[in-house]
Amino acid sequence: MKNYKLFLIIVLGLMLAIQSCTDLKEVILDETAGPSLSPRESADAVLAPAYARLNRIYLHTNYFALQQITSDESILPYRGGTDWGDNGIYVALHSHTFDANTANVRNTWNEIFQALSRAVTAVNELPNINDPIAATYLAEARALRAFYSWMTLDLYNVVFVKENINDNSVVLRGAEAFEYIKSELEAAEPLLADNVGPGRITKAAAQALLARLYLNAAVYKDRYADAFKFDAADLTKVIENCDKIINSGKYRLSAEYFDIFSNNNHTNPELIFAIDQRPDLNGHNRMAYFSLSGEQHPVPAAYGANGTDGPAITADFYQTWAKAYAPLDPADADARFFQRNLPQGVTCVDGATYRIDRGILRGQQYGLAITQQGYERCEDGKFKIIPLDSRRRGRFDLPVIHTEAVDFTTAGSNYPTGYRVHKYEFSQTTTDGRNRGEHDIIVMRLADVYLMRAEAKLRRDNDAASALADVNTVRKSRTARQPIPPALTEMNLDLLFRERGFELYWEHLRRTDMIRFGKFEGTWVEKTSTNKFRRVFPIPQSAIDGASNVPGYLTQNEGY
Amino acid sequence: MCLAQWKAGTVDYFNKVSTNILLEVVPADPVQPATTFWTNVENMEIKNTGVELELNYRHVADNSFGFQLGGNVTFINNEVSGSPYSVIFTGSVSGPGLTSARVNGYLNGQPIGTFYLQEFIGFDDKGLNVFTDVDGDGIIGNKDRIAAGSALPKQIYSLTGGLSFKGLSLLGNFNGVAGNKIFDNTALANFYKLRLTKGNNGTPSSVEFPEESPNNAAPISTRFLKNGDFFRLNNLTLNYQLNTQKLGFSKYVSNLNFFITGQNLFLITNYDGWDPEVDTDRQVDGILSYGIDNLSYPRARTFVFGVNLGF
Repeated sequence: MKNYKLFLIIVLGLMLAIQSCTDLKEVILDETAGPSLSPRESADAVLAPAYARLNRIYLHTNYFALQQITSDESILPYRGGTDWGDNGIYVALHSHTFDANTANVRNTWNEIFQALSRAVTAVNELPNINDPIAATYLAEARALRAFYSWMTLDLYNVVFVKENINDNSVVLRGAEAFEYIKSELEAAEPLLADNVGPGRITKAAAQALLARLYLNAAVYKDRYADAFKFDAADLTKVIENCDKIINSGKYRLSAEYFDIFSNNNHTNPELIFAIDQRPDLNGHNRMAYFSLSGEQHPVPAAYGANGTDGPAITADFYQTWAKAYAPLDPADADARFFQRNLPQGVTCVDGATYRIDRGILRGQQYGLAITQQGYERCEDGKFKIIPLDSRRRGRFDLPVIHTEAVDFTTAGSNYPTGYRVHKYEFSQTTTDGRNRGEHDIIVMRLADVYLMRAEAKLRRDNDAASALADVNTVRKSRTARQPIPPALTEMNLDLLFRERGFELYWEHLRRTDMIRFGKFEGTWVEKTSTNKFRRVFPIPQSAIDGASNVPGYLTQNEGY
Repeated sequence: MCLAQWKAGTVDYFNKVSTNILLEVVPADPVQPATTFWTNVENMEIKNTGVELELNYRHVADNSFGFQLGGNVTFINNEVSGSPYSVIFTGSVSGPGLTSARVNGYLNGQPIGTFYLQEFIGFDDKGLNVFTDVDGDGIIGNKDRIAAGSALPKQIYSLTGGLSFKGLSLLGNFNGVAGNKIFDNTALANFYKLRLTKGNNGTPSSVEFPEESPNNAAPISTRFLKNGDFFRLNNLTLNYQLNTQKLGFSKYVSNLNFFITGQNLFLITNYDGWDPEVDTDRQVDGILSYGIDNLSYPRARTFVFGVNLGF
């Protein structure tokens, strides 16, 4: 027994002795931001984060919801009483009953200010970096900060001016806020590069932003006016900036309209400023996924990746197309409305070339037939295409037919109601329908520049002839596919507003456009509120609460 | 003749004040690298006051008969005060169409765990939900929420009792709460009429209201807020101790007893969910949620029969 104990002590002692011999030398595998970073790399590392949150701002539930669901272009009912109820936020946005606690209002605010803060950090850090690129980057960071500030001005009628990241921001509103953004963009513009687009802010991007800012100046300076007074000097600035972009010859209108929104659109010559979603940048596919039917599976390689039966276009918006082209069907009159990619009926399609229809989707939808084992195949191994039914809900008897009528009634809010939009192309590499978006999301493009110039000419000089020429330049450029939109023969503000809808539908512009054209107090589908205070969103209650310890710092917008 | 008898009782008063509450707050200036930061909120207090009573009685008679009885009850009053925030929302419910819906709200003058909800008052002539329009602006929104009760009980009590006669003893304990609310997320997300029309299953509560439209949606509201009062027989044990000395085999077996224990033998409650004693964690931004029942597994009823042998 004693020997046994002794043996145990020796063994334990040996184990300790062996362990204490371990050499604890640290092996460095990787280091963050050390002295090994060159000045150029440091500059890159400071500027990149200022862009990194852009696609979070441009999420379906953030900026898209605020700009589109509040407008006459889109509606998102409580689908079937089970989907997209989300505590009533989309009903509230559409019917203009949103308030300071509406989640989208808060989340968009948070995303923009996070991004803005990174731009301020870049503005602070770049002057300390000793590299020739730093001056250009500084201009870029300033322009980006001005872009984010434009968003907060447009949405919330407030701008937070911050020069030093450690100081408290100065709060500006109305005309002062407009002046600040204008001076920032104008100071940055001459210093910007012109070959880093469309994913970054170039000279042309700053010019386009200035055009947009000046075009809306009358709104920003007197937000609750009964009728906006457009200043000739501001409109002249719109025309000047648009001229610079158009005359530079760097940008071209895309012959195929839907190429602008396709998965390889990063090199499309029409894009001026866009959110870079090339592979490896962790883009999202929400712009494509949001509106499509939950029964629609656009990618043969991604089993189960589908749409979500989100928003549809309103019947009011559809009627602007129908009336403009009657007696022709809009799909037979304007290539921007629709592109058919799938045969109708039960057919077999090669997986590699399978693409669903683009544009505004109406009526019976066709697509892959999902089963428990995968997508159904034909005998020759091709994918079988069927008229879609509601099989995911176990209802093979209910076809997926998108109807013109969509509203908040029981019938009008059923899953397939409303015409849908597949403008941004569904990602081919997505695994779940939501991730790995492959298209850049557009902020500014050349067609918008032409239409802004047309509007400025109309508003300043009532120059219908020049405006008509610009509008027709855009229409006539879509030559890749029939039917090429026919040239218009007359032009006025109402027609121009309609044309902006045809060209720019669902591009995060409609709310801003409606306010500027004095149409935001109109009524459509379930929207009956005509209160002018709805032109700006409330400051989120969380931000008001957060600022409550600094009296008078941040006051709630009128009416909320 | 009485061999032993004693009574005992205590009265406690408590007043616990937590000051400078640690919260994840939004900065005054939103241009910050992070949207929120943790800080002690000056002047914000959570007061927990109350009285606790306890009584015990024990009686052992000469013929080896005895009984004991005990109980305690706590009366609690909890209140948040000095919060600079109008409402701090937490308690995100889950279910289809319920993204961003939060049911708990911390506000001044109310206890923590308060349910801050629109008040459901019935159905309109189309069978759709009607809520109280608190501010009378014709819009049912977040401004129409009311403090509709708290998940914190107003009273917590328990009872213990025992009987013994020679080798036989019976011991039980009961517990219960009163004055609290439970938000039935399970019913909200799963048991409402509309789901039946979609071919999904439900419970009888799905068709509770004949006047409800089969297409009526189920957003969060007081409709799914239920009383959480309950009284439960938590544990009951019957034990029989054999006297091995007298039986003459103490040489081999020093101790022998048989027992049967039942747990959760009965429950008296009006709560129609699975179990009122639940709390699914649905916190938001580190702020605790209280009293949400979301598919929580109910407490089992168990019977244990045992023999103890000692050598």
